[in-house]
Amino acid sequence: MNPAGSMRRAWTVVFLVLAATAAALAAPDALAQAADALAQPAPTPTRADYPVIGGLHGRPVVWGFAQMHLFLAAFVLAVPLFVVVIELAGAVTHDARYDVMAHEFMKISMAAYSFTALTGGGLALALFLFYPVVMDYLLKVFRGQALIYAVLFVLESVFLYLYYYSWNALRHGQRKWFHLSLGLVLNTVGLTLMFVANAWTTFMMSPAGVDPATGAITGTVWAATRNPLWNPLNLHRFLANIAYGGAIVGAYAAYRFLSVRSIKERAHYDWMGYTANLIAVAGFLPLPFAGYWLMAEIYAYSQQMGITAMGGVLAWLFIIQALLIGTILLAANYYLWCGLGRTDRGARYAPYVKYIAVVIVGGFLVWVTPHTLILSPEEIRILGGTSHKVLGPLGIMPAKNTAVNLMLVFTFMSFQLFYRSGRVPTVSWAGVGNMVIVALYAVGIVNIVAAGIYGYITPTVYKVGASVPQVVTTLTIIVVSLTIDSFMARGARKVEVHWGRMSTRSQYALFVLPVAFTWLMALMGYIRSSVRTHWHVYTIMKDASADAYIPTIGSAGNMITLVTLAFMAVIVFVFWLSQLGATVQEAPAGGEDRS
Amino acid sequence: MKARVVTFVIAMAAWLVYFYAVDWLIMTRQGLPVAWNLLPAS
Repeated sequence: MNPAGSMRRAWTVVFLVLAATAAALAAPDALAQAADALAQPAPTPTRADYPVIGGLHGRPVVWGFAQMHLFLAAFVLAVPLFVVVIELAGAVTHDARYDVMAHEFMKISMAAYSFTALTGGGLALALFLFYPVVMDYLLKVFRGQALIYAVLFVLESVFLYLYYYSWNALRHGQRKWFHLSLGLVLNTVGLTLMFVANAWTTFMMSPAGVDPATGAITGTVWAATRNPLWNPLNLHRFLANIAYGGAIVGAYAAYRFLSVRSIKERAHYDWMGYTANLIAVAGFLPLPFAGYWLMAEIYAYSQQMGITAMGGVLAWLFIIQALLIGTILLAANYYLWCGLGRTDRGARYAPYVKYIAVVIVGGFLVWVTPHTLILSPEEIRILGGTSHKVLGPLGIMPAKNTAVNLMLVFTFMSFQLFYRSGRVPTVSWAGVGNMVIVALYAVGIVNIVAAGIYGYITPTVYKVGASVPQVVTTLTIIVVSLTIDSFMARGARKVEVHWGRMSTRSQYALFVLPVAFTWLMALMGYIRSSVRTHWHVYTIMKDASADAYIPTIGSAGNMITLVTLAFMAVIVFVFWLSQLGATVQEAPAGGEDRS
Repeated sequence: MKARVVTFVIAMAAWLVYFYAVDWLIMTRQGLPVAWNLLPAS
């Protein structure tokens, strides 16, 4: 058995699992009920169809469970995605450190897995208890898909346990490649699981495969699955999960870094924290573009839905979103800047940090500038209108798009400075390469700003389109710089990186990331769910419960904060469990106590 | 030093042409007016 053959077999398995899954997703029609049952219109529930149990209404219960399940599932599904990549890096480079780190990442997610299942079970129970009519309709639309979801969940558990517990048994040589294949299958199942759940969520926002007037089922399960918002949400959650998973394991590394005493262990956890931050930033950089696509598709599907999200009362939450994303970017950058101290060569890049900070903070301020304020008549009189004369123009999209693209470009620059601090290129064309990269940054930044100005002078209908060149520019800078750097690094003289030479303060930046991410996810989840307004299934099935309205920002804020705190409590417990699992009690002095 | 400056200038020019071409392509594909058509006539 050679590695190529082993990998070929692994890919065959992956392909078979994918094919089986695709067939399974399309096949539930075979489990369909009688045709006349499907042809009936969507039910119209009345107030009596929403039980109040022990004084509890369905919405807060379902909301809490759904959000907790999403946090945990995002984490548990994300970790194996990057763990397989790290494990592969270890297998290719024959560097055991990668393997140890990958295994430790998995250990954290394993402790969270049972909580994921528990909250998932709680969510299902709450949905069937409080929303029986809605669930009845959704089960009809998706026919046997819920059973396939259950099978996928069993497969996920089997492969997750197999992957984790076979780690040391399949550690070297050909067995390592077999182990990697298990990881691939695990991720295939995990992603499919998420895609199926996403189909149910997005069906409620943009129903397909049903009669638009009555809600009667007219199409296949696949038609309902592949609704207009399915793929945008799939991509958005895929990237966000990676960023989220990276942020959480980064906090674990910081926790361990602060609690261990030996220099060797500190070096290990510092490296782990750096890698985790890198994963979080890598997942995060393309995320705004995926979010943009999702929002563009929401507008394309229903302008009304788009306006509810971004033009009404919920628009204010995008200012809070900007605040949180700004916090995440500042924390991630701060951590990278501190990291320059790990090498003696890093000091030469320190003078540039202040300029990067100016751009990040400036972009952050532009992003949080609201356009139209909620004001009293007296305040409007003092201000001379509903928006500020000077700062008002910073509230519209061209300014925000410019700010966010510049923030992403400069965050990438922070990463690139650290990467370069550990290498001295030896290739003859290094000078030329540097000039090409500097020119790329300079022209790219000018292009982003110019496209922003274009956005101002172009008619409103073109403003959204004007942001596309900005996105392309940002991605070009990242991809081309990385490519040139990777060629330049060939044969480069390595500078010693003093892992563990990090301030205590820097580690707190790693704690900021998961807290801000969690709160942000809950906030955006509230918006995504609220855009359906008083519909269970948008324009198909009305919500007749007492909660058929968008919750106020204040009450939603309380709920979001409560769930975030609950999740943080679970995560602290999970971290503690992971540490406990590695703790070995020393034998008492004088032998075993037999008394 | 001189060689670096020359390289930098050439690279700047090349990237300018590249980004302009990409922008133009994206704009026209979306049916957006080119920038100078939007400037007020003087």
